[in-house]
Amino acid sequence: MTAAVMTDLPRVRNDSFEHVVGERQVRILRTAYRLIGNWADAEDVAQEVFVRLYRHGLGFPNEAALTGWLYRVTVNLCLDHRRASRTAHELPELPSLAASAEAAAIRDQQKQQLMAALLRLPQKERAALVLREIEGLSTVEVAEILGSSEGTVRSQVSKAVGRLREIMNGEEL
Amino acid sequence: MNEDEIRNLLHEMNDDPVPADALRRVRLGVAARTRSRTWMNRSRTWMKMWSAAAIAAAACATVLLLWLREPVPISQSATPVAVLKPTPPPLVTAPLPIPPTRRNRTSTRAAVQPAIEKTRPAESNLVIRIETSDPDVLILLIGD
Repeated sequence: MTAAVMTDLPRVRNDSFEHVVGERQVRILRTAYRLIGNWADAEDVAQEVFVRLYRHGLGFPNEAALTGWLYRVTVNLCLDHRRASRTAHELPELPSLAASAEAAAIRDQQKQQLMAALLRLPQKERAALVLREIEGLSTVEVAEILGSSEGTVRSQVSKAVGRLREIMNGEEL
Repeated sequence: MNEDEIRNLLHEMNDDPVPADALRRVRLGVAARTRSRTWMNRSRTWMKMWSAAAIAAAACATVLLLWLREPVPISQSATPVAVLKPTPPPLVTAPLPIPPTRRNRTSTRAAVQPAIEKTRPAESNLVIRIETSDPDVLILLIGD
């Protein structure tokens, strides 16, 4: 889905601002939530992203440029937000898997556990992992959004998955 | 849990539903903020236009006032600081012909050669005085 959006299709001229917001707010809000960890702050970040888009205007050469711009602003705002409220954030406790016996509930619990583990990762690694593995962007696109090289992104994603495994299995030092 | 399971779980998270309330709040918040910004931009544009119009009107009024103002006569001092008096040019006198002792036709013709005297009076008019052989005849040429 995202790969199709990120192709160099020419911009649709009659795209209104409201249309762009409606089309992309789910992805932006979800990305902000994965990077920050709570919906209230993610909403604020998503709002700010779209207000900045309004100020910037829709004069992007193609869809890929618009999508890349939105992700870049989202990641930067989330990093700033986390940096500003670093002292207020405690490391999240991992929820216990023994709370529910059903399979779906276990899966949900695993996701919650993974989300909590995600928030323990260093910011850059977390951003690379969320964009690459959850949002499904290519390594090139992630590198462009984060302003780093493809090799760095690959390394960050690999390290992040390794850390998540350690956290999930209780191997964390 | 191994790394493949973690990757699968991460991919599944892409399909997790986003709370509808959160989406609605984002949409409403963006609409409110962009609307107020639009109003502010419009009022700012109007302010700029009115300021420009006021400045232009003031400039026109100033130019008009300067143009309509009566010219002030330049006061001349009663005693001039220095007066330059034109010096008369030196009198140029042509050599007088030697009067002939005898009056004959040839000598008369030779005596016709006039003595030209150029003088420039103080009024700067050129006056040429021609003396003929006849002492009673004097030709004066006055230039403009």
